[in-house]
Amino acid sequence: MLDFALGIMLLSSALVSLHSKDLMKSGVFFLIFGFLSGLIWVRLEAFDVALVEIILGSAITGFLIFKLVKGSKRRALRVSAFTKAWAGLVSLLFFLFMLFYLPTIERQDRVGRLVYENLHKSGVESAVNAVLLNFRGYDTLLEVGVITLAIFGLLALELKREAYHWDNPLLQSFSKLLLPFIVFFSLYITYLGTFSVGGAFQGGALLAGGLVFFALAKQSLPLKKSLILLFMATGLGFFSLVGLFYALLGYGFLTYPLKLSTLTLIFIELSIWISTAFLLYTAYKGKL
Amino acid sequence: MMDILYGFLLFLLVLNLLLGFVRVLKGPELVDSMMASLLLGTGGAALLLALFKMTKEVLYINLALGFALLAGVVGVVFAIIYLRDPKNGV
Repeated sequence: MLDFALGIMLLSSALVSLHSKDLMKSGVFFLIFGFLSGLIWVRLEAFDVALVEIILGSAITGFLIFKLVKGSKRRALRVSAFTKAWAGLVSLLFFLFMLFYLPTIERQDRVGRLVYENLHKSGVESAVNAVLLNFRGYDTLLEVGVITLAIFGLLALELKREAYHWDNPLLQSFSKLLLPFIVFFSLYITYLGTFSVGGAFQGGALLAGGLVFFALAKQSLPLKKSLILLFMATGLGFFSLVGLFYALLGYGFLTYPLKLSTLTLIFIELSIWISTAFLLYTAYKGKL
Repeated sequence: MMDILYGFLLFLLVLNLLLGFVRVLKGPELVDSMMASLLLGTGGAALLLALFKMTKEVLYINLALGFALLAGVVGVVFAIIYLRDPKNGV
């Protein structure tokens, strides 16, 4: 019954989010969609995805959407009946395909088994982070690079728009009270990535949420702009430096020696944590 | 005995989610929808805690903490961005 109710709510919130004329309403329903899909991932026991969905899908994306909608003058798109019919037909076909295909799948071992067999070589105990930071380090490095470059490109646009804030004593003291907890919990999530569900990206996104809240209460961080820039570049810089360092020592690019791998991975996670947080924070503010 | 109790609790929480969702859908103003969705967030955190009590899986607590920390922030962000516009009052 729980799953059924969640599914119904998920579908209807997606429908409203797509069909509403008001873009802000679409944003609110997109938030609810993210929150409900987080719960559904929990029910499917995919805790890593659930954590990302809860932190990013139902919070950080919401901030960005709200700000974007407020900044844009456009109303919602008008879709022609032909497009609707075409999209509906494709979705119906896909739904029928899944309806008949899904019951025929049998549970079988795929490459996932390889990860668990080689987990002891990675230096971390969590399979997700072993794949993310060790076995497929190249992918993660390039992902970090893409985010970093995207945000630096945003900064290069030099947006003149004033940031939203509210000069309210209640809000200020509340944000001061909440920020330490958020910092602590995000560090905990980052550190937990070594052992179980968690990781640098999730922790960084959580911290970014706290920082956005801090900025909304018209408070500024006691950091110089150059330091914030440095934090933003830390993830990409440190990750590639570590890779090059081990390459020069003769281990190969992004290949860690077994004894040092746990320590190295923890430091890499910390660097990605701080840079993700400040990158998302800057993405929200639009300027330094 | 405790399992039945938590099952009942889970049922009530799902009912809470469903009724809250009706409010989100109907809510005459966007603000009503947002308030009801904050209620959904609280209900979701409670749901995760009830699931933790039933399954004894510690991960649920982390997820619930994540929910609880960011749900408040979402409300404040919405309020500042949406309501601080002179068109919408406040």
